[in-house]
Amino acid sequence: MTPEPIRILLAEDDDGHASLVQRNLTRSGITNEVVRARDGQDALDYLRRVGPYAARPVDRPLLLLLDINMPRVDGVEVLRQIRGEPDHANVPVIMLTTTDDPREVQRCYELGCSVYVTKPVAYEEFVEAIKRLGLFLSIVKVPRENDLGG
Amino acid sequence: MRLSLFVKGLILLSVPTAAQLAFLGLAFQIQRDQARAQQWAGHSKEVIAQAQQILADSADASAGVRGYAATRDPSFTAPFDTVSRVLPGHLDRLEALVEDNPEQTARAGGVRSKAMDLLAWQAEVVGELKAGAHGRVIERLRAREGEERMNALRAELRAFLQEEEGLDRVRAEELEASRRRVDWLLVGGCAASFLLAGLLAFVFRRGISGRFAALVENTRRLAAGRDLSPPLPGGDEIAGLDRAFRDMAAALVRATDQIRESARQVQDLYDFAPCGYHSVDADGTVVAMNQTELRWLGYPAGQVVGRMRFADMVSPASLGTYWATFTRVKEHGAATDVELEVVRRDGTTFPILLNSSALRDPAGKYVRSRSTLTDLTERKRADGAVRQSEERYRTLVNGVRDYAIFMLDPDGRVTSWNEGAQRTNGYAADEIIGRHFSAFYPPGDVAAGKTENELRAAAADGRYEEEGWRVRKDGSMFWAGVVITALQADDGTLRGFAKITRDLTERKRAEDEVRRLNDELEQRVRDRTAELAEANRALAARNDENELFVYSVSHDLRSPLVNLQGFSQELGAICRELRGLVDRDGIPPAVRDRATGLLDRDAAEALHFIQAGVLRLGGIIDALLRLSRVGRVDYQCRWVDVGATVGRVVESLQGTIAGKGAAVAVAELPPAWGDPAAVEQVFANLIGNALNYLDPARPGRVEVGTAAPPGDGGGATFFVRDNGLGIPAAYRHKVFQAFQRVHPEVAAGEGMGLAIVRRVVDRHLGRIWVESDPGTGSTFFVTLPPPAGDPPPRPGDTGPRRSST
Repeated sequence: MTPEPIRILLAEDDDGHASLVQRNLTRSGITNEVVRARDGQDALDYLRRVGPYAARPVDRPLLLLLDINMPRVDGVEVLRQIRGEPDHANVPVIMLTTTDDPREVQRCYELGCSVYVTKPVAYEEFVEAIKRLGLFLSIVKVPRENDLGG
Repeated sequence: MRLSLFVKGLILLSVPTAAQLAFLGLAFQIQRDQARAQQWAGHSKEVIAQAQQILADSADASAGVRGYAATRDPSFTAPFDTVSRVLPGHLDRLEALVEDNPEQTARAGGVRSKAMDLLAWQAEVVGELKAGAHGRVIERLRAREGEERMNALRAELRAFLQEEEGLDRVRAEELEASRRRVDWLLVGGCAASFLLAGLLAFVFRRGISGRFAALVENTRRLAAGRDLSPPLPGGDEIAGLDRAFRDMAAALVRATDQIRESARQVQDLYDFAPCGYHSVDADGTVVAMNQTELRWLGYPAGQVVGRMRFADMVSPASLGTYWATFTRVKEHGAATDVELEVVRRDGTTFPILLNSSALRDPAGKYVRSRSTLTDLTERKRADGAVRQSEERYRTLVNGVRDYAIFMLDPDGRVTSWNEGAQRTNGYAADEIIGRHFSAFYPPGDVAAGKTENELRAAAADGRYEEEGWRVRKDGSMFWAGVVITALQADDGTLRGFAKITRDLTERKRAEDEVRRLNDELEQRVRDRTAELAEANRALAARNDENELFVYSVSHDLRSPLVNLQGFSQELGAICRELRGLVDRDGIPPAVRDRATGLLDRDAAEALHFIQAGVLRLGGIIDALLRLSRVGRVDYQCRWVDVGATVGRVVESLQGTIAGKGAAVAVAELPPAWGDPAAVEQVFANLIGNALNYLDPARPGRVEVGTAAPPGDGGGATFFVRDNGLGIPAAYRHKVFQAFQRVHPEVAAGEGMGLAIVRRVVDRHLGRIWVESDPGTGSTFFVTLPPPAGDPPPRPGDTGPRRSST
């Protein structure tokens, strides 16, 4: 059985950032489907298949690309909530943010994020980080949704 | 030797028995020897007789033969016939007798051959005679054939006998010696018997009876009280008895000594006790009197005991009392505490206290008295002194004017009153004596039970002391200092109270004024301190607020900055792609030139400025974030090895130092209390600054060292000195503010370094300041105070002690 391609859920309120992330994912050679959530609540709804996402398919494993600073529900809160839900406790999460505060980084790792990437201001560094992400995405084994927590 | 009596007895019995047995054995032996000697002596006699018998036989036969030859009478052959018949038997007997002696046996053999030779010759001659050949026989006789053979036999026998007689002599001597031995044995045995008996008697005396005699002697000595003889040696029962006897004697002596000592003590107590003892018989005559009483009265014992009545020594004034007492003792058995005056031998008198009890016989008849006397002279004198002292005291108390001194009975009623009391309370003595002391208290206090409480406290603790309001006779109030002292009789019962009151109204007023002023001052100080604390809190809160604001603003600024940066790079990429398209064939040269110009010059310049601006903005935001973080990060404080820290900083700046051709000198540095990373940040900033702002006109020199701490002396003071550009006085106060740059043309930066350093030092409760001279250089000073009550460690000991934030 060949593994299903991973679906990436990108939670990012800033359209520019979202666009830059997607461009750089593509440039890093990642062709996986990317679903955009506009903020933390939107990402939670998607994960929980409520509201507009009630009928979304659950045919692929998910990977969460999570910005920290978002309106309504921020990234840290999203991480905290899904780590408490059996269906999503094991979803790999990559924190992607401009914050490099060591305490914030520490808190995210304690809540169970898989990788923490600081959005660099310098373009080259940003690409390098995305490349590292791309490397991570291509090798990480992602469990299928609903197979999780069983 | 340590022998028991049993062993000693055994020895005494067994020694004579053994001696007798030895004597008997010896006697038997000697007797046997003598018998053997006698036997041998007899044997020799028998051998000799046998040999002589043989000689006689042979001689008889020879004589017979010669007679027959001479007479031809055949009767002469009778001896020969007899001899020829018995001679072999005699020879056998002789050989048998000497067969134990080989030499004599050989000689006996010689005798036999010679005798048998003679006998054979005789037989031959007898035969010839019988045959009638007398002539031949005569010839043979003349030829002395027989004589020769006889002589040969004789010679042989002589030798044999000589030897045997020698043996006989020896054996006779042996027999004689044996007899002598028997005699000696008898004499010696008797003598040894006597000797042994004497010896045993001596041993018995020494080992047993003598020791008993010593014991008996010791009992006599003990009875007579003389010293005991030395202890008996040895380990037998008698020595044990001796030891036991000695222990008993020692115990007896000790007990006797104790009894004697005890009797002496009792006698001493009687004679020299500090009171008089005497006894009188039924007539009142003194029968015993102790030394103390005799000394008091001045009489020798001989003059009093049995000669005087005690009544003779009682003064006429007390005589009636004495006789009444004496009668009471005889009739009722005792009299106590009777005061009498007695007369000394010299006629002087002194007071005494008499106690007496009666000693009666089993029938209840009075025998004698047991009386004690106590000398009352001193007590009488003391009573007088007390009366005098009391008088003086009363005078003194009455004269005191500033203190109210008065007495209360146990219920609190006034019993005495002095002038001071009248002045203080306003009552005259006759107005107040007999009244309750609650008259001096405000009615509220009395109602609250204060007067009872004060008396109770004074009675319990012996003393009660307070200051409080009291009321004068005219109703006015005064502030009084009061001491109430409980007065107790010798048996502990409460006799009353002494009360001393002083009017302290003036003092109280002054004290109240001082206290009021003090309170006011303290209140002002408290108010001001609270204001300052409030201001500090507000400042700290505002500072925290500011830092939080800076933190969130920096974050919010970062987000659009990411877009600016990201998309300017995208634009650059787009430009490069467009440039590729423009270079393709088929583009009109005019369009290509124009596009190339736009892309390479205008767009590139625009992108350059955007990106430079973004970079600068990013730097400023980072610096702001760093500054805000200084206020929020937790510090792990410990003793930091500053020398090693500065060493690391200098090492990391080696490239800059070499590039500037500067020299950095680091003195020996003491440890400092702080967060290791923060301390390193401070020195990295200061040394980095010093290097950045060196004066290119002269060789750069940077110096790191310690200075004496300022003023309060708290903690180490470090300095970083350079010979660089220096800071003009006008800017000096701004160097620690954020975004302030004194020499922006010399080095790149946000002007945030010293602001961060100052914030770090502030959070370590330290101080930072700068001394500078433009053209000469700057010196930055930093103090880092130690934690309260914790001295700096020895060099090298920089382990964690505790953390603070």
